[in-house]
Amino acid sequence: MTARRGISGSRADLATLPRALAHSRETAARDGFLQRVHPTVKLVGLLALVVMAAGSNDSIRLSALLALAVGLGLISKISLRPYAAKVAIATTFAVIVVAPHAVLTSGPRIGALPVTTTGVGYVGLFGLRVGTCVAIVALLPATTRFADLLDALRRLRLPAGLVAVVGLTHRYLHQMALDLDRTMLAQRSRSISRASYRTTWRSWGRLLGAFFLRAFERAEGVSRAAQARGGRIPNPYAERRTLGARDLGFAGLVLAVVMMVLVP
Amino acid sequence: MSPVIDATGLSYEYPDGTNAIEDVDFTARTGERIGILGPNGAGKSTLLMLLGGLLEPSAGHVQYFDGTADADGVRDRLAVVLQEPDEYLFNPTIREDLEYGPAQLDIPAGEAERRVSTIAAELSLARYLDQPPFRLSGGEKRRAALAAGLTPHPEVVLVDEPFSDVDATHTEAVIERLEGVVASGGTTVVAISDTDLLPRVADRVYLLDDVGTVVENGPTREVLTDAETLATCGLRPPRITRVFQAAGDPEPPLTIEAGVERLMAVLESSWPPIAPDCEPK
Repeated sequence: MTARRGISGSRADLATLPRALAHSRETAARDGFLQRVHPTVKLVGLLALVVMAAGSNDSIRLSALLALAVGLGLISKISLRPYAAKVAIATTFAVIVVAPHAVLTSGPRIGALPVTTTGVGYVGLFGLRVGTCVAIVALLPATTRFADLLDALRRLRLPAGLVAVVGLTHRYLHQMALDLDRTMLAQRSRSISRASYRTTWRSWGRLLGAFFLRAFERAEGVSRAAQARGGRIPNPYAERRTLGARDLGFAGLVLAVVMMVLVP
Repeated sequence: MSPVIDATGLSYEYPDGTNAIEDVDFTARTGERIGILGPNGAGKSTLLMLLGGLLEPSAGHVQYFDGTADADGVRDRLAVVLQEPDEYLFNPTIREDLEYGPAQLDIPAGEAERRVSTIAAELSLARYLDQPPFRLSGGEKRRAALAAGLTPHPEVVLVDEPFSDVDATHTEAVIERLEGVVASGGTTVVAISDTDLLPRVADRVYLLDDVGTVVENGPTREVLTDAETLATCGLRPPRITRVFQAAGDPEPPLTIEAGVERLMAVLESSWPPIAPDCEPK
């Protein structure tokens, strides 16, 4: 791989961020089961499921929770491939991190291999737990508009400043990704000769430096704009949405799962 | 009429010691349409931010309305629409951005919704209301920023380059909205470098040179027909004005519309009619 290809590869990777976020917005707008559940009920419900998964050491219960998450994803019409990719990436990373436990944990060995059954069991259970948690959490952005999610956080009486910071971070994460993508595209469009590794990485460094300065400037600009517009964090005009049968159904489902997990 | 903004001896120095604005006196009165004209880098945006109380001047001071409050104390009456819409629109959706001002004023939800839908219709933003700002084009973002500044119904509106990236049709909509502010008793101050559009939004102009000094302050006609002074600032009179000036007209029109009207009057008064079927558009 040439240096230039490396840079353009990074640019392509970076460009996937706005695309991924756009994909989430698109699935959140679909007419699925979770999309119709009240954002606050959904947030609390999914959070409860995550707590249940994170606290469980039972592979059968974890598998059931994973199946429930996938089932909810299916009836919410989310795209399975990116959903599965998210879960797989997180699970693989988690398994890699705890993999040494397979060797280091004492217990009966598996044949001639240096791993123990206890260790492998631990690694497998950890991977399953992480995969289940990610599968549940991933349902939230895939079925909820970000503005609704912020509204849910406000309804849950989280500090207004914290919600504003979350909102601004999300807003400018998009913006900075787009800015960086445009800057790199501009650099590519003005690259005339084939650069050496050294030159390419030096220009990459310069570009990043300029980008961070731009990010700093942007932050100052946003702060000034907020001041120009009053600067107070207001209570937005949340949609007055009453709880319906779907919300109660989802809450009931979560409650049943919680009971099932908690009751030995 | 009473001044809504009264600035004296305003100067602003960048951290490196360069002067951006030098000893500017500025007054805006109720119902006025003021333009801040200057070449790129003249300090128009800096002056606008100083007038809007967003920058601390290195010398001079600004007074608002009756002089009892500073800029932050009159934010409900004073809107500053900054040049960079990507910074100005900081909420997750355009709708929330447009509601941001009214929500701070504790305006009832129904009234806020009415304001949002009215301005969204006027500036052709209705179909973007539930979109995140970064999904919009440059011109759409610019219109959305103006709409966000106007939803609190401020008495004074300071706008920086409102026509950048905006197409011809929507330029008319933006002009109408700014006229609407003045029609309802407000004041507009527009920073602009386009002399063709300036006469549409300003009756009085502050002309800045490239070092941030006011070289002329007067009625738009006076400033825009003074080709010599404009040239010292790297600017030229409006294109239609230049055409009539070249033909020796002592009172050249400032806008295309006025130019067409003038030509039609000439054509109609000539005998026999030169172009009897030609109607002004």
